[in-house]
Amino acid sequence: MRQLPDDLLIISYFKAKELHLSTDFIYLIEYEIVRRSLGHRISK
Amino acid sequence: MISLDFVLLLVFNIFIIIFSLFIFQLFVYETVFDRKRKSFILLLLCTIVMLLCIIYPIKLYNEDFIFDLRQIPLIIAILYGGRRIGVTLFVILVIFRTYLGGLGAIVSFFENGTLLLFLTYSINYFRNVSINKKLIFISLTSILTCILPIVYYFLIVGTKGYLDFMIIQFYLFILQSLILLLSIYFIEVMISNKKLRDKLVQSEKTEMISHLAASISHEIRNPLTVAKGFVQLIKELGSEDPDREEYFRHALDELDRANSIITNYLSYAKPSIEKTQLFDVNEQLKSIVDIIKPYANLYSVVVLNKSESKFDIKGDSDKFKQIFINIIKNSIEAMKTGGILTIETLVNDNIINIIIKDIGQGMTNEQIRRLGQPYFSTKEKGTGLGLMVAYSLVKVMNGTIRVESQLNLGTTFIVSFPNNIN
Repeated sequence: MRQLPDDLLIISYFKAKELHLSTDFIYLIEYEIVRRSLGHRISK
Repeated sequence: MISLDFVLLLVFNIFIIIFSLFIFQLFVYETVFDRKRKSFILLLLCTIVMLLCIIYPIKLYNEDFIFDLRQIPLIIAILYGGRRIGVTLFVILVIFRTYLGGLGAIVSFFENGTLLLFLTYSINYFRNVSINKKLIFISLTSILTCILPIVYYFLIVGTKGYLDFMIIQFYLFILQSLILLLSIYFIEVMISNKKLRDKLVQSEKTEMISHLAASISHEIRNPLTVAKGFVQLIKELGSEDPDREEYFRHALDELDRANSIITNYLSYAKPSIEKTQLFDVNEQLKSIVDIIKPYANLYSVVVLNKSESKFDIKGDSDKFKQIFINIIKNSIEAMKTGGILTIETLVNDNIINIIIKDIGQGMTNEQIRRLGQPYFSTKEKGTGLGLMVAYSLVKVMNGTIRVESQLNLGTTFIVSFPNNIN
Protein backbone atom coordinates (compact mmCIF):
# COMPACT_ATOMS: atom_id res chain seq x y z
CA MET A 1 0.00 0.00 0.00
CA ARG A 2 2.82 2.37 0.92
CA GLN A 3 4.26 2.28 -2.61
CA LEU A 4 0.99 2.67 -4.49
CA PRO A 5 1.05 5.87 -6.59
CA ASP A 6 -1.03 8.76 -5.10
CA ASP A 7 -3.54 8.84 -7.98
CA LEU A 8 -4.15 5.13 -7.90
CA LEU A 9 -4.58 5.31 -4.13
CA ILE A 10 -7.35 7.91 -4.50
CA ILE A 11 -9.00 5.93 -7.33
CA SER A 12 -8.83 2.78 -5.20
CA TYR A 13 -10.50 4.62 -2.34
CA PHE A 14 -13.50 5.69 -4.40
CA LYS A 15 -13.76 2.32 -6.13
CA ALA A 16 -13.63 0.46 -2.84
CA LYS A 17 -16.44 2.64 -1.53
CA GLU A 18 -18.47 2.19 -4.67
CA LEU A 19 -18.09 -1.60 -4.56
CA HIS A 20 -18.81 -1.64 -0.81
CA LEU A 21 -15.56 -3.48 -0.06
CA SER A 22 -14.70 -4.23 3.57
CA THR A 23 -14.64 -1.25 5.95
CA ASP A 24 -11.21 -2.34 7.20
CA PHE A 25 -9.81 -2.04 3.68
CA ILE A 26 -11.40 1.39 3.22
CA TYR A 27 -10.06 2.48 6.61
CA LEU A 28 -6.53 1.38 5.69
CA ILE A 29 -6.68 3.34 2.43
CA GLU A 30 -7.98 6.37 4.31
CA TYR A 31 -5.17 6.02 6.84
CA GLU A 32 -2.59 5.94 4.05
CA ILE A 33 -4.21 8.96 2.33
CA VAL A 34 -4.07 10.95 5.56
CA ARG A 35 -0.48 9.84 6.15
CA ARG A 36 0.45 11.27 2.70
CA SER A 37 -1.45 14.47 3.54
CA LEU A 38 -3.84 13.89 0.64
CA GLY A 39 -6.95 14.13 2.83
CA HIS A 40 -8.27 17.11 0.89
CA ARG A 41 -8.65 14.99 -2.26
CA ILE A 42 -11.27 12.73 -0.71
CA SER A 43 -13.01 15.13 1.63
CA LYS A 44 -15.10 16.73 -1.11
CA MET B 1 46.42 -42.03 67.94
CA ILE B 2 45.11 -39.59 65.39
CA SER B 3 47.86 -37.09 64.73
CA LEU B 4 47.71 -33.46 63.66
CA ASP B 5 49.21 -34.50 60.33
CA PHE B 6 46.27 -36.81 59.80
CA VAL B 7 43.72 -34.07 60.41
CA LEU B 8 45.58 -31.50 58.30
CA LEU B 9 46.07 -33.83 55.36
CA LEU B 10 42.51 -35.07 55.56
CA VAL B 11 41.17 -31.51 55.54
CA PHE B 12 43.53 -30.64 52.68
CA ASN B 13 42.35 -33.62 50.61
CA ILE B 14 38.69 -32.86 51.21
CA PHE B 15 39.33 -29.20 50.46
CA ILE B 16 40.94 -29.77 47.05
CA ILE B 17 38.10 -32.07 45.98
CA ILE B 18 35.29 -29.72 47.07
CA PHE B 19 37.22 -26.64 45.91
CA SER B 20 37.69 -28.09 42.42
CA LEU B 21 33.95 -28.75 42.22
CA PHE B 22 33.25 -25.11 43.10
CA ILE B 23 35.79 -23.95 40.53
CA PHE B 24 34.11 -26.12 37.91
CA GLN B 25 30.67 -24.79 38.71
CA LEU B 26 31.70 -21.13 38.90
CA PHE B 27 34.03 -20.82 35.93
CA VAL B 28 33.18 -23.67 33.60
CA TYR B 29 29.80 -25.36 33.99
CA GLU B 30 27.51 -22.39 33.40
CA THR B 31 29.64 -20.43 30.96
CA VAL B 32 29.64 -20.14 27.18
CA PHE B 33 32.45 -22.71 26.80
CA ASP B 34 31.54 -25.41 24.31
CA ARG B 35 31.19 -29.07 25.32
CA LYS B 36 34.69 -30.03 24.18
CA ARG B 37 36.35 -27.31 26.22
CA LYS B 38 34.24 -28.13 29.27
CA SER B 39 35.25 -31.81 29.00
CA PHE B 40 38.91 -30.85 28.66
CA ILE B 41 38.76 -28.62 31.75
CA LEU B 42 36.99 -31.40 33.67
CA LEU B 43 39.81 -33.80 32.72
CA LEU B 44 42.45 -31.24 33.68
CA LEU B 45 40.84 -30.52 37.06
CA CYS B 46 40.38 -34.22 37.84
CA THR B 47 44.02 -34.91 36.88
CA ILE B 48 45.29 -32.12 39.14
CA VAL B 49 43.09 -33.25 42.04
CA MET B 50 44.09 -36.89 41.55
CA LEU B 51 47.82 -36.14 41.44
CA LEU B 52 47.56 -33.85 44.49
CA CYS B 53 45.73 -36.64 46.33
CA ILE B 54 48.55 -39.07 45.51
CA ILE B 55 51.33 -36.60 46.37
CA TYR B 56 49.75 -35.59 49.67
CA PRO B 57 48.22 -38.82 51.02
CA ILE B 58 46.59 -39.14 54.43
CA LYS B 59 48.87 -40.69 57.04
CA LEU B 60 47.41 -42.71 59.89
CA TYR B 61 49.41 -43.50 63.09
CA ASN B 62 52.74 -43.42 61.27
CA GLU B 63 54.24 -43.53 57.80
CA ASP B 64 53.19 -47.17 57.32
CA PHE B 65 49.51 -46.45 57.15
CA ILE B 66 49.02 -44.29 54.11
CA PHE B 67 45.97 -43.93 51.93
CA ASP B 68 44.59 -41.34 49.57
CA LEU B 69 41.37 -40.26 47.86
CA ARG B 70 42.57 -40.54 44.24
CA GLN B 71 39.59 -42.67 43.30
CA ILE B 72 37.10 -39.86 43.92
CA PRO B 73 38.22 -37.72 40.92
CA LEU B 74 38.49 -40.93 38.87
CA ILE B 75 34.91 -41.97 39.70
CA ILE B 76 33.55 -38.45 39.07
CA ALA B 77 35.45 -38.19 35.77
CA ILE B 78 34.06 -41.51 34.49
CA LEU B 79 30.47 -40.94 35.60
CA TYR B 80 30.13 -37.29 34.52
CA GLY B 81 32.81 -36.91 31.85
CA GLY B 82 32.17 -40.17 30.02
CA ARG B 83 34.24 -43.14 28.92
CA ARG B 84 36.92 -41.24 27.03
CA ILE B 85 37.80 -38.93 29.93
CA GLY B 86 37.64 -41.87 32.35
CA VAL B 87 40.07 -43.95 30.29
CA THR B 88 42.45 -40.97 29.83
CA LEU B 89 42.50 -40.31 33.57
CA PHE B 90 43.06 -44.02 34.24
CA VAL B 91 46.07 -44.03 31.87
CA ILE B 92 47.50 -40.94 33.62
CA LEU B 93 47.00 -42.64 36.99
CA VAL B 94 48.70 -45.87 35.86
CA ILE B 95 51.68 -43.99 34.41
CA PHE B 96 52.10 -41.87 37.53
CA ARG B 97 51.67 -44.82 39.91
CA THR B 98 54.15 -46.94 37.89
CA TYR B 99 56.63 -44.06 38.10
CA LEU B 100 56.31 -44.19 41.92
CA GLY B 101 57.11 -47.92 41.77
CA GLY B 102 56.48 -50.82 44.13
CA LEU B 103 54.09 -53.77 44.06
CA GLY B 104 51.30 -51.34 44.91
CA ALA B 105 51.47 -50.12 41.31
CA ILE B 106 50.29 -53.50 40.04
CA VAL B 107 47.54 -53.65 42.68
CA SER B 108 46.52 -50.13 41.72
CA PHE B 109 46.44 -51.03 38.01
CA PHE B 110 44.11 -54.00 38.48
CA GLU B 111 41.99 -52.36 41.15
CA ASN B 112 41.37 -49.16 39.18
CA GLY B 113 41.07 -51.06 35.91
CA THR B 114 38.23 -53.15 37.35
CA LEU B 115 36.63 -50.01 38.76
CA LEU B 116 36.89 -48.34 35.32
CA LEU B 117 35.25 -51.34 33.62
CA PHE B 118 32.47 -51.50 36.19
CA LEU B 119 31.72 -47.77 35.97
CA THR B 120 31.90 -47.47 32.18
CA TYR B 121 29.30 -50.22 31.91
CA SER B 122 27.13 -48.47 34.51
CA ILE B 123 27.25 -44.96 33.00
CA ASN B 124 23.94 -45.27 31.15
CA TYR B 125 22.19 -46.65 34.21
CA PHE B 126 23.71 -43.96 36.44
CA ARG B 127 22.70 -41.08 34.16
CA ASN B 128 19.06 -42.13 33.97
CA VAL B 129 18.17 -42.74 37.61
CA SER B 130 16.96 -40.43 40.37
CA ILE B 131 19.36 -38.73 42.76
CA ASN B 132 18.48 -41.20 45.57
CA LYS B 133 19.34 -44.19 43.40
CA LYS B 134 22.54 -42.45 42.35
CA LEU B 135 23.56 -42.10 45.99
CA ILE B 136 22.79 -45.81 46.60
CA PHE B 137 24.83 -46.69 43.50
CA ILE B 138 27.74 -44.59 44.81
CA SER B 139 27.55 -46.34 48.19
CA LEU B 140 27.79 -49.70 46.42
CA THR B 141 30.71 -48.41 44.35
CA SER B 142 32.43 -47.39 47.58
CA ILE B 143 32.07 -50.92 48.91
CA LEU B 144 33.54 -52.18 45.64
CA THR B 145 36.51 -49.81 45.93
CA CYS B 146 37.08 -51.25 49.39
CA ILE B 147 36.84 -54.94 48.43
CA LEU B 148 38.76 -54.76 45.12
CA PRO B 149 42.17 -53.74 46.56
CA ILE B 150 41.84 -56.32 49.35
CA VAL B 151 41.28 -59.07 46.78
CA TYR B 152 44.06 -57.88 44.45
CA TYR B 153 46.46 -57.33 47.35
CA PHE B 154 45.90 -60.91 48.43
CA LEU B 155 46.39 -62.21 44.88
CA ILE B 156 49.47 -60.12 44.05
CA VAL B 157 51.28 -59.39 47.31
CA GLY B 158 50.04 -62.26 49.48
CA THR B 159 49.30 -62.23 53.18
CA LYS B 160 52.28 -60.06 54.19
CA GLY B 161 50.97 -56.96 55.99
CA TYR B 162 47.48 -58.04 55.06
CA LEU B 163 45.90 -57.02 58.37
CA ASP B 164 47.39 -53.50 58.21
CA PHE B 165 46.19 -53.20 54.66
CA MET B 166 42.65 -54.14 55.65
CA ILE B 167 42.63 -51.54 58.42
CA ILE B 168 43.68 -48.90 55.90
CA GLN B 169 40.98 -50.04 53.51
CA PHE B 170 38.40 -49.78 56.28
CA TYR B 171 39.33 -46.16 57.02
CA LEU B 172 39.51 -45.40 53.32
CA PHE B 173 36.08 -46.90 52.79
CA ILE B 174 34.47 -44.75 55.51
CA LEU B 175 36.16 -41.54 54.41
CA GLN B 176 35.94 -42.09 50.69
CA SER B 177 32.25 -42.98 50.74
CA LEU B 178 31.39 -39.93 52.81
CA ILE B 179 33.35 -37.49 50.65
CA LEU B 180 32.20 -39.18 47.45
CA LEU B 181 28.55 -39.02 48.52
CA LEU B 182 28.98 -35.36 49.40
CA SER B 183 30.64 -34.61 46.03
CA ILE B 184 28.00 -36.49 44.03
CA TYR B 185 25.24 -34.73 45.94
CA PHE B 186 26.87 -31.36 45.23
CA ILE B 187 27.22 -32.15 41.51
CA GLU B 188 23.61 -33.34 41.30
CA VAL B 189 22.36 -30.15 42.97
CA MET B 190 24.49 -28.15 40.52
CA ILE B 191 22.98 -30.02 37.54
CA SER B 192 19.39 -29.74 38.79
CA ASN B 193 19.85 -26.00 39.44
CA LYS B 194 21.00 -25.52 35.88
CA LYS B 195 18.09 -27.56 34.54
CA LEU B 196 15.69 -25.46 36.61
CA ARG B 197 17.21 -22.25 35.27
CA ASP B 198 17.03 -23.56 31.70
CA LYS B 199 13.36 -24.38 32.26
CA LEU B 200 12.70 -20.89 33.57
CA VAL B 201 14.45 -19.37 30.54
CA GLN B 202 12.32 -21.57 28.28
CA SER B 203 9.03 -20.76 30.02
CA GLU B 204 9.88 -17.05 29.97
CA LYS B 205 10.43 -17.34 26.23
CA THR B 206 7.08 -19.07 25.80
CA GLU B 207 5.43 -16.28 27.78
CA MET B 208 7.10 -13.69 25.54
CA ILE B 209 6.01 -15.53 22.39
CA SER B 210 2.39 -15.50 23.58
CA HIS B 211 2.63 -11.74 24.32
CA LEU B 212 4.01 -11.07 20.86
CA ALA B 213 1.37 -13.29 19.23
CA ALA B 214 -1.39 -10.71 19.78
CA SER B 215 0.58 -7.99 18.02
CA ILE B 216 1.61 -10.38 15.23
CA SER B 217 -1.96 -11.37 14.43
CA HIS B 218 -2.94 -7.72 14.43
CA GLU B 219 -0.04 -6.87 12.14
CA ILE B 220 -0.80 -9.69 9.68
CA ARG B 221 -4.43 -8.68 9.32
CA ASN B 222 -3.54 -5.38 7.65
CA PRO B 223 -1.56 -6.71 4.67
CA LEU B 224 -4.10 -9.50 4.21
CA THR B 225 -7.01 -7.03 4.20
CA VAL B 226 -5.17 -4.88 1.65
CA ALA B 227 -4.29 -7.88 -0.54
CA LYS B 228 -7.91 -9.05 -0.46
CA GLY B 229 -9.14 -5.54 -1.33
CA PHE B 230 -6.76 -5.29 -4.28
CA VAL B 231 -7.86 -8.70 -5.60
CA GLN B 232 -11.49 -7.55 -5.39
CA LEU B 233 -10.58 -4.39 -7.31
CA ILE B 234 -8.74 -6.44 -9.96
CA LYS B 235 -11.89 -8.50 -10.45
CA GLU B 236 -13.82 -5.35 -11.37
CA LEU B 237 -11.22 -4.06 -13.85
CA GLY B 238 -11.18 -4.98 -17.56
CA SER B 239 -8.41 -7.29 -18.71
CA GLU B 240 -6.70 -4.45 -20.62
CA ASP B 241 -6.72 -1.99 -17.72
CA PRO B 242 -3.11 -0.90 -16.90
CA ASP B 243 -3.98 -0.54 -13.19
CA ARG B 244 -4.59 -4.26 -13.04
CA GLU B 245 -0.84 -5.01 -13.17
CA GLU B 246 -0.16 -2.39 -10.51
CA TYR B 247 -2.76 -3.91 -8.12
CA PHE B 248 -1.36 -7.38 -8.75
CA ARG B 249 2.15 -6.28 -7.84
CA HIS B 250 1.02 -4.54 -4.66
CA ALA B 251 -1.24 -7.43 -3.61
CA LEU B 252 1.78 -9.74 -3.90
CA ASP B 253 3.93 -7.25 -1.94
CA GLU B 254 1.36 -7.22 0.85
CA LEU B 255 1.27 -11.02 0.94
CA ASP B 256 5.07 -11.07 1.10
CA ARG B 257 4.93 -8.64 4.00
CA ALA B 258 2.48 -10.83 5.89
CA ASN B 259 4.65 -13.83 5.10
CA SER B 260 7.83 -12.20 6.39
CA ILE B 261 6.10 -11.13 9.62
CA ILE B 262 5.06 -14.73 10.25
CA THR B 263 8.47 -16.09 9.26
CA ASN B 264 10.30 -13.72 11.62
CA TYR B 265 7.97 -14.59 14.43
CA LEU B 266 8.20 -18.34 13.86
CA SER B 267 11.99 -18.24 13.59
CA TYR B 268 12.02 -16.96 17.15
CA ALA B 269 9.12 -19.06 18.42
CA LYS B 270 10.40 -22.42 17.27
CA PRO B 271 12.29 -24.36 19.94
CA SER B 272 16.01 -24.14 19.35
CA ILE B 273 18.96 -26.34 20.20
CA GLU B 274 21.43 -24.68 22.52
CA LYS B 275 24.60 -23.90 20.61
CA THR B 276 27.56 -21.66 21.38
CA GLN B 277 29.11 -19.91 18.41
CA LEU B 278 30.43 -16.59 17.14
CA PHE B 279 27.63 -14.44 15.74
CA ASP B 280 27.26 -10.94 14.34
CA VAL B 281 25.60 -8.61 16.83
CA ASN B 282 24.05 -6.31 14.24
CA GLU B 283 22.61 -9.10 12.16
CA GLN B 284 20.88 -10.38 15.30
CA LEU B 285 19.71 -6.88 16.27
CA LYS B 286 18.17 -6.46 12.83
CA SER B 287 16.22 -9.68 13.17
CA ILE B 288 15.16 -8.68 16.71
CA VAL B 289 13.80 -5.39 15.35
CA ASP B 290 11.84 -7.34 12.71
CA ILE B 291 10.31 -9.54 15.39
CA ILE B 292 9.44 -6.70 17.75
CA LYS B 293 8.18 -4.20 15.14
CA PRO B 294 4.55 -5.38 15.17
CA TYR B 295 4.56 -5.00 18.96
CA ALA B 296 6.06 -1.51 18.66
CA ASN B 297 3.39 -0.56 16.11
CA LEU B 298 0.72 -1.62 18.57
CA TYR B 299 2.12 0.90 21.06
CA SER B 300 2.77 3.57 18.35
CA VAL B 301 6.48 3.30 19.01
CA VAL B 302 9.01 3.92 16.23
CA VAL B 303 12.10 1.70 16.48
CA LEU B 304 15.31 3.28 15.18
CA ASN B 305 18.14 0.81 14.72
CA LYS B 306 21.33 2.83 14.35
CA SER B 307 23.77 -0.06 14.72
CA GLU B 308 25.63 -0.83 11.52
CA SER B 309 29.18 -2.17 11.74
CA LYS B 310 29.85 -5.88 12.13
CA PHE B 311 30.84 -7.06 15.61
CA ASP B 312 31.18 -10.68 16.66
CA ILE B 313 30.50 -12.06 20.09
CA LYS B 314 30.44 -15.60 21.37
CA GLY B 315 27.33 -17.23 22.80
CA ASP B 316 23.95 -18.64 21.90
CA SER B 317 22.32 -16.33 19.35
CA ASP B 318 18.84 -17.46 20.39
CA LYS B 319 19.53 -16.48 24.01
CA PHE B 320 20.93 -13.17 22.75
CA LYS B 321 17.60 -12.55 20.97
CA GLN B 322 15.72 -13.45 24.13
CA ILE B 323 17.73 -10.89 26.18
CA PHE B 324 17.07 -8.01 23.80
CA ILE B 325 13.46 -8.83 22.93
CA ASN B 326 12.86 -8.74 26.67
CA ILE B 327 14.58 -5.39 27.24
CA ILE B 328 13.11 -3.78 24.11
CA LYS B 329 9.60 -5.02 24.93
CA ASN B 330 9.87 -3.41 28.36
CA SER B 331 11.11 -0.16 26.81
CA ILE B 332 8.16 -0.15 24.40
CA GLU B 333 5.71 -0.74 27.24
CA ALA B 334 7.28 2.14 29.18
CA MET B 335 6.19 4.53 26.38
CA LYS B 336 2.45 4.35 26.96
CA THR B 337 1.63 7.19 24.58
CA GLY B 338 4.09 6.17 21.92
CA GLY B 339 7.58 7.48 21.23
CA ILE B 340 10.94 6.62 19.78
CA LEU B 341 13.12 3.71 20.77
CA THR B 342 16.77 3.90 19.70
CA ILE B 343 19.16 0.99 19.40
CA GLU B 344 22.88 1.74 19.05
CA THR B 345 26.08 -0.27 19.13
CA LEU B 346 29.36 1.27 20.33
CA VAL B 347 32.73 -0.39 20.77
CA ASN B 348 35.00 0.75 23.59
CA ASP B 349 38.30 -0.93 24.47
CA ASN B 350 37.29 -4.33 23.18
CA ILE B 351 33.88 -4.08 24.82
CA ILE B 352 30.72 -4.02 22.71
CA ASN B 353 28.07 -1.78 24.22
CA ILE B 354 24.52 -2.22 22.96
CA ILE B 355 22.43 0.78 23.97
CA ILE B 356 18.64 0.63 24.14
CA LYS B 357 17.13 4.03 24.80
CA ASP B 358 13.48 4.94 25.32
CA ILE B 359 11.65 8.15 26.17
CA GLY B 360 9.17 6.49 28.47
CA GLN B 361 8.07 6.90 32.06
CA GLY B 362 11.52 6.23 33.56
CA MET B 363 12.39 4.76 36.94
CA THR B 364 13.61 5.89 40.33
CA ASN B 365 17.04 4.86 41.65
CA GLU B 366 15.38 2.40 44.01
CA GLN B 367 13.52 0.79 41.11
CA ILE B 368 16.74 0.54 39.06
CA ARG B 369 18.50 -1.10 42.00
CA ARG B 370 15.81 -3.79 42.23
CA LEU B 371 15.71 -4.53 38.48
CA GLY B 372 16.45 -8.15 37.67
CA GLN B 373 15.17 -9.38 41.01
CA PRO B 374 12.35 -11.91 40.73
CA TYR B 375 8.83 -10.62 41.34
CA PHE B 376 9.91 -7.00 41.13
CA SER B 377 8.12 -5.20 38.33
CA THR B 378 7.05 -1.66 37.51
CA LYS B 379 4.28 -3.02 35.27
CA GLU B 380 0.80 -3.71 36.53
CA LYS B 381 0.79 -7.34 35.43
CA GLY B 382 4.55 -7.92 35.38
CA THR B 383 6.24 -10.76 37.24
CA GLY B 384 9.80 -9.45 37.03
CA LEU B 385 10.89 -12.84 35.71
CA GLY B 386 11.54 -11.55 32.18
CA LEU B 387 14.31 -9.18 33.20
CA MET B 388 15.61 -11.64 35.76
CA VAL B 389 16.10 -14.17 32.97
CA ALA B 390 17.67 -11.46 30.75
CA TYR B 391 20.13 -10.55 33.54
CA SER B 392 21.12 -14.16 34.12
CA LEU B 393 21.54 -14.82 30.36
CA VAL B 394 23.77 -11.75 30.04
CA LYS B 395 25.88 -13.00 32.95
CA VAL B 396 26.30 -16.41 31.31
CA MET B 397 27.62 -14.63 28.19
CA ASN B 398 30.17 -12.75 30.36
CA GLY B 399 28.26 -9.51 29.86
CA THR B 400 26.97 -6.78 32.14
CA ILE B 401 23.86 -4.57 32.18
CA ARG B 402 23.92 -0.94 33.25
CA VAL B 403 20.73 1.11 33.56
CA GLU B 404 20.41 4.88 33.52
CA SER B 405 17.00 6.42 34.02
CA GLN B 406 15.17 9.61 34.88
CA LEU B 407 11.54 9.75 35.89
CA ASN B 408 9.28 10.88 33.02
CA LEU B 409 12.28 11.33 30.70
CA GLY B 410 13.17 7.78 29.80
CA THR B 411 15.50 4.88 30.43
CA THR B 412 18.71 3.69 28.81
CA PHE B 413 19.87 0.08 29.03
CA ILE B 414 23.56 -0.46 28.26
CA VAL B 415 24.37 -4.12 27.75
CA SER B 416 28.11 -4.80 27.40
CA PHE B 417 29.83 -7.91 26.07
CA PRO B 418 33.51 -8.67 25.53
CA ASN B 419 34.48 -8.38 21.86
CA ASN B 420 35.99 -11.32 19.89
CA ILE B 421 36.26 -13.98 22.55
CA ASN B 422 38.42 -16.81 21.29
